[in-house]
Amino acid sequence: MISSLAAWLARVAGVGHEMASRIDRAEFHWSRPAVLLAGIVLLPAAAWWISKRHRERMPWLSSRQRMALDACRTAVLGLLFLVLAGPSLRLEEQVRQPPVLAIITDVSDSMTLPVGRLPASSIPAVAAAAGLPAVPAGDESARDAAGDTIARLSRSELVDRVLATHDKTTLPQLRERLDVRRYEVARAPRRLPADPVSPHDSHSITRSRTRSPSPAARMTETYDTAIGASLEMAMDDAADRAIAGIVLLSDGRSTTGIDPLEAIRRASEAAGGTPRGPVFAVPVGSPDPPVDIAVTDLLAAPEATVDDTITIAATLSTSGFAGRDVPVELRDAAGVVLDSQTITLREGRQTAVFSWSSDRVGTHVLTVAVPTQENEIVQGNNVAETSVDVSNRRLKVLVIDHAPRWDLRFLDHAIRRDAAFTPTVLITASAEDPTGTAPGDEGSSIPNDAAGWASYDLVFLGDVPATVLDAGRQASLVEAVMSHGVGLVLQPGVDHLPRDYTGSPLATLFPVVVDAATGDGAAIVSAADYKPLKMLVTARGAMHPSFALGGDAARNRRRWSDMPPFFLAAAATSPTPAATVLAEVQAPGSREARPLVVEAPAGTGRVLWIGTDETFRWRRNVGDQLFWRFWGQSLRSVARRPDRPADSTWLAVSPARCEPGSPVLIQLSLVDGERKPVVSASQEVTVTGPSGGLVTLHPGGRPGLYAGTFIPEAAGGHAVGSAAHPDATGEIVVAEPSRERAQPGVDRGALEAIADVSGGALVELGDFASLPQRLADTSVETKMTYEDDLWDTWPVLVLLVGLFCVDVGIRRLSGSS
Amino acid sequence: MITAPQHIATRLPFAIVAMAGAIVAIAAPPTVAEPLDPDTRDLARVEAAVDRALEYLAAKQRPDGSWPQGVSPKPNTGVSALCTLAFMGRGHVPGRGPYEKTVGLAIEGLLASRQKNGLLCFAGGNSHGPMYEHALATLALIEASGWMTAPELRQTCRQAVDLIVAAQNKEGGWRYQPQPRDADLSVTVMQVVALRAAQNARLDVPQQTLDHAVDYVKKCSRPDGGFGYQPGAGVKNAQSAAGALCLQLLGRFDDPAVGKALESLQTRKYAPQMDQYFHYMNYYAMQAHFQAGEGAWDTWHPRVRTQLLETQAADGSWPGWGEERLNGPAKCYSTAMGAITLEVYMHYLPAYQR
Repeated sequence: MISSLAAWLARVAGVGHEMASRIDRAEFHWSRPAVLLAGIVLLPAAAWWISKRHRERMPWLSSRQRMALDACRTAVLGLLFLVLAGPSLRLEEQVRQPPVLAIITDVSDSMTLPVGRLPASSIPAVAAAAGLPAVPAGDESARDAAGDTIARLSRSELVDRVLATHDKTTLPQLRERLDVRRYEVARAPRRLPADPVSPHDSHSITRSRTRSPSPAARMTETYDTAIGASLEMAMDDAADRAIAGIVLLSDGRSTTGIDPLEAIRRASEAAGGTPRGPVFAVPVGSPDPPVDIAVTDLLAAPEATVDDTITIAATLSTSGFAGRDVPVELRDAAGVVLDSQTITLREGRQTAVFSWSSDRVGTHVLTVAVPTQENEIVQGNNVAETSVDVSNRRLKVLVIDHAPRWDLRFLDHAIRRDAAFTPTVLITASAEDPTGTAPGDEGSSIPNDAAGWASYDLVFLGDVPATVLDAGRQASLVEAVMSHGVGLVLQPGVDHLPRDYTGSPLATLFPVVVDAATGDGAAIVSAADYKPLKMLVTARGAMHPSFALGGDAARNRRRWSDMPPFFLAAAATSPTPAATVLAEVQAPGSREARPLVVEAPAGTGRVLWIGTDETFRWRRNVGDQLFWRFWGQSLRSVARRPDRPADSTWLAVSPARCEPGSPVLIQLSLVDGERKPVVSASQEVTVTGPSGGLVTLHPGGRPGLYAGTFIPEAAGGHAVGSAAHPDATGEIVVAEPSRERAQPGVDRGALEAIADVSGGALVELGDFASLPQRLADTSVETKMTYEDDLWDTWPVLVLLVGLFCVDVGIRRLSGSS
Repeated sequence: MITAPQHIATRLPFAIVAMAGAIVAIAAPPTVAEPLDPDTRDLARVEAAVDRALEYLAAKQRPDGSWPQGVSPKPNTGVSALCTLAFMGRGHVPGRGPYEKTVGLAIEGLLASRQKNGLLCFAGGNSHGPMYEHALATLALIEASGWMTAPELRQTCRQAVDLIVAAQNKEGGWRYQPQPRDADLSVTVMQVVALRAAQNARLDVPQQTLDHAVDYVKKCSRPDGGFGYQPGAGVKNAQSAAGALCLQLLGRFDDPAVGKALESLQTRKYAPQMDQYFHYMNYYAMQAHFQAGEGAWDTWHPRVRTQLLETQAADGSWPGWGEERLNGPAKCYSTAMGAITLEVYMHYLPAYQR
């Protein structure tokens, strides 16, 4: 605190009352003390000289008047010296920035599962933490009763109880020295409006949940847990503040968004390699997995041809039923059992594989189910569903590459196994050519006119030299794509595509802008050995058929964005107009992204750009499953579709099956009676169903094509129709997911890893009260110094004006002027 | 007259080198699927073990691109090819990534071994005939050709494959020297593997050559299950694994001899004492069970994983067990074998696709 005089001076200098109350020290200060010194020395002489001049020049003045005038003018001179000396007030303020404590609460669907039986030794502590009656030491019946009570609570209820109990004890201690912030996380994290400042406001979390926009929207928010994103948000919010800790109350199941360990790693990297803040992970739920059987995954090719046998692989996760024989059934949409096999369950995961084929064209909904067993804790996760579109058409595909790159070797095998394709593969390199760019025998088989190219539904073009695919061939290929609807897939490499094609006819089909100068003219982005490239699927890509794994865009995005890193990508800088970026490439620790997988319409055809030749890495640990999933679906989606020509009206939805909250792409092609495109600023379609409404579609790449997104909020069938054309209809089947319940146990290993990597620790719920001891007080004391000038303040002005008035008054009274 | 076991005892060291790295798969019906989410913690341990092994191998590489071996101080293209495959099997392909220089140097070393007739073998680097080394080096170069488009590499691969085709004897098998004289299963399976890799890379391989090879391999099978070194020879675990894999690679997945051979292996106690040439047997058995699919794979791979993870040294190497003579003190052979055995999990090499 400062003296009252200093406080008055501070106010005089314009410092507000509130700020003045925070000032720790005030010091009067002269900016130019030499001027002040000179003034002190010169002022007596000046006063004498002024007085002398007044006596000589104004002898008619009375002595009183002259003395007053002397004093007045000497004072003005003295004031001038004071102002020139620069009087100021130096104020010092001590600012304390308390470190941040983020408390993140998992509120996803899995947190509604029962806590389950806790170990006996931990029950008394958890009971105390949850505000239940105390368990006397040695009283086993009281302990068992408390254990039963806790076991019946849901995980969220237990968390709420613990937080409410500690809001009167532990949390106030923390608030005294830390900036406590609260978050909750489900599909997305969010910061709660304000941390409660009094015990009476301790249920803000519960209250905040009721503020969700609608019950349906609220429900969809809980289908996933984005632990990584919540950690990222808490660390980003802290900005440059120290983080004392992040307390994470969760069952450890992170089902969407960035990987939690990656989020911690990125934050650490941004902070110069030191952990940004320790995470204290608090597992909520029994360490023993609940007795359960779950069908956690169901994989099948999404499309097949008539009589083509496809494999359907169901992954079962079992806990508590090892050794039991159970039937696993494959059923159709009507519930008819198509195939059944008895398997002997074992703890952990195992796979049941079915073969299936159909002679009926259309969409087939298939279900794999295991009967619910007695004593199963978690219901509703014994069934998984998928759909297969069966068609009677085989796609003719021409694959051209200059060398048998690894991606091509895998693609070659996979495409030959898929009955939906009739492939022709041409390797254009000639072993006899010393330059390696002349066409070999197979290169001469490349079509040289549009009709030749148009005999295929799809052309795959790899790293082929422009000397092999000459300008004439390129022009005819462009014509085949633009006018005949041929699909084109471009997979650049390091030698020829795209750098050979700058300014060529083929370049007009590129859906990206290529920076030919990157990589010393190779038009490639090369990653450092220690910092490889990472693919990130965009929101649009997550609902594109290329990346579809199920009806859940969030899961698609996460799964594909988890693919192994790679080292080279084509140097695409931006998408061309009307192109859609499905995936981007990003170096770890960098926020700059380049287009990696891009799709664009091209006349009546489509072009897909896959900017890396390292998709073979997607085979890691799972073989063909994801690799061919991507390639098979991509080839199908780009290939010429006779059922979706540009000169007719149609409506398409993708995906046709999804879950609430997952976006659905709606495309509408409109032509008039003369089969000419209907051009307008927008079109509207009506969605009817449990969560329908009007959806506005905007122009989507070619005249007459419109596209928009619909996000269903509730499960059930939805019909899509266009007011402009009654025949353009579609259907969306929305089903609730069971992902959060597929693996209902608490993942303590994941929480432990998060704690370890961040420098934190695993804290049991019963030890919640130990948090104040674990959190370091790393408050930062900052000294803030301000300097306010005093010469330009109102007292100086009043004094100056007063002296001037006196001077003028004396002159008037004496008749001097 | 030399008996079959004597043949094995005297010739298997190179068979081990040659056969272990050259597992090439062929197109097979996609009837088997792994779970979409394998146990990531187990796989993380496997990847970490392989990474440690590769660090070890990178440190042991010689300036000429080769790796040391126990038979001779001269380069052995078989051991070098195995080490090269170990890197590529983890996704460290030529021209990219942290082992770009290591792999590039290794490929240069293999190319430098090319003789006028297309044989890929340095004189004096082995104690037996060169065909094992040639087949392994052929496989490594064919895999590398997916990333290096130098005409010299393509020509070398084509010439190497032509030599293998020309060296097949009238029974359908191959032997130590690049002439079509006698044959044994150990050398034969190695050449078949290289030829299947060549087909995979779209190099010309006569179908007649492969069909003829099937005839020879089937002659080496025993009616009661398992395979022998040559027709009529007794069953050995290592040969059972190799024979089963050979038929699978030749597209005979449903041949009864395959199932019997795998059953024979599964009934034995799994340990390094299971075969004198444990690494050889281990790798072929791992690949054969992988090719066989779900049930057989589930039965076999956990024991291999456990054993290799438990026996890896802190420096990333594996012991040679019965194969110390070939291994030598540098332990590059056994370390490469351990790595490529675990890399069966990763599905990276095109040659391994099922």
